Amino acid sequence: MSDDKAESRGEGSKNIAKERLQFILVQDRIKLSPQQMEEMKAELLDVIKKYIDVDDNDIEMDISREEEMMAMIANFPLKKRD
Amino acid sequence: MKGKAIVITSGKGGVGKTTTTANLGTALAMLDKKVCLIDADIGLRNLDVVLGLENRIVYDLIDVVEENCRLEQAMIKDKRNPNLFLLPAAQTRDKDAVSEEQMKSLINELKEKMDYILVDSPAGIEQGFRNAIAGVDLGLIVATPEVSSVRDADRIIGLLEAEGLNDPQLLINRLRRDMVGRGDMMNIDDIVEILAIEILGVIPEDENIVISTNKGEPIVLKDKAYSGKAFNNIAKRLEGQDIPLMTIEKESLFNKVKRIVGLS
Amino acid sequence: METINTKMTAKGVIIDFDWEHNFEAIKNSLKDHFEEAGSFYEGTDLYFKVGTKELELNNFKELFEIAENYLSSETGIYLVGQEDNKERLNSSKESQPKREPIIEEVSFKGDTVLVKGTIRSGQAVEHPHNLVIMGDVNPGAEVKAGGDIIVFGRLMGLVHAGAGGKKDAQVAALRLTPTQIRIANKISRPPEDSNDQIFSPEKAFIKEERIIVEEIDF
Repeated sequence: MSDDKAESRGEGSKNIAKERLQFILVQDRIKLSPQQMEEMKAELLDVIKKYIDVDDNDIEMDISREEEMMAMIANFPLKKRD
Repeated sequence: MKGKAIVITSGKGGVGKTTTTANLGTALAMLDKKVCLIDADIGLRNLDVVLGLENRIVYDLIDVVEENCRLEQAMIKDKRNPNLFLLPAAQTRDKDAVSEEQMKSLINELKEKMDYILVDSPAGIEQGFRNAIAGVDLGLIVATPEVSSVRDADRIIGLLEAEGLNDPQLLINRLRRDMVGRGDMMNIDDIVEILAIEILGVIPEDENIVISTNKGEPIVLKDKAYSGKAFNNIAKRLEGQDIPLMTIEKESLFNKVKRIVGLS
Repeated sequence: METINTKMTAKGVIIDFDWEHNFEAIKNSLKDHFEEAGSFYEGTDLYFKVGTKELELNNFKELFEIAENYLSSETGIYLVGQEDNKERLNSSKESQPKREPIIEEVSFKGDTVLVKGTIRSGQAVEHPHNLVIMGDVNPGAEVKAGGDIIVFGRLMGLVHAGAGGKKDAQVAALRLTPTQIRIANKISRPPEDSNDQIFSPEKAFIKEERIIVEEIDF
């Protein structure tokens, strides 16, 4: 999230800190650089595309820590049938 | 007697490990516990200065492991509390003068004599840190509400767990109520959520800490100091008492009003 | 003999003082000598041969101050006593301290060593005989000698004179505010809440089994 967004919500800088930290820690913990993340995303997308039609523009991938474990959550929206 | 050995560590420097060790140790001694503080920061000793004991040092930790003296000879009795002892670091040696095995056997020896052994860890994750965590039962992580400090704390938690020191506990230091109130500092919940470990205590930012360090008198000896009370509470929690976290980050009235009128 | 004599050796220049002359004359000749020498002493070390003469604290200081004014900071100045003849000088730098600090120094067996510069926290200087420090000894630093220790500066760290058991060893400093003083097997620390406002040189020694600190009268 950008600084502007946090500020426009009328909140101080702490949310920026929190979001940056969460992002940094994911990388620290799984030892994956942002570039490697992007590569993984692209490779995954290629695999999925082999079987289903997905919308390239709306893919979301995130790694987060839930209680005791880390999870990667990905959203691949299917293309609407015309 | 079978005492409990606790390492106070953080990864990042300057977050208050030494101050925490000195005050938590003094607070535990005030609860009538026998406590030995170990300065594991070989070559950069400071715990002696914070406790005002720097001019009493004759032998140090390295002298003990090199058997230049007996353990009891190197343990300096605190000038205010007969239950509190300091095992100072050597100042003119380096970290390689002691090994993990030597630290382990030293701590085991102390466990027979003491209720608590608090080890003040050096900053960093090198050999000095490894020595400091050797033979301890619990890790206490000190973190300030800053991105860099929390990040390093996370790294340290991982390293402690890799060494079999599971379930470390968190101390948040230098929390500023005013900044939390206006949303410019992460609050307790934010940090606990990110690090996902149990919180043992919160110490507010307090300029009295600087004054107490200047004088070499731990802040817990001052009845009125807010931060001193926080350390006393942490000591009681370590002793198993159920003391709620101090509500130092109550929402400011302004924030409440804003919320009611729907601004945030 | 002249007031001062100089000799070149492989190790540096030896300056020999003739103590038959009065101190003012010696000082003046030293000054004149440095004036004439110009940059001649750049990069070479100087050895002040004091012989058996017992110089007073402030006399030492004056000689060093004269030298310092004319020499670059890289030039080392060392004291040489009587028993150090030329052969000894040529085979010098033999007894190095156990934990070597980053400070330049040279040792002569049975004699006084001069250490130039501030001894900082974590640094240790050790010598089997007398030690003279031209600079401060900061808190956290350790200075240990078998004989006397003289500090031309502020002594704030830990100091141990007579470390081998020499009970008549002394510690002297322009400002004596140490963390701890040890002489032979005696240990002493400044009294609690002492607000030391004494700005004159002091010395510490053992008297009736206790370490005593006294102002030095010049």
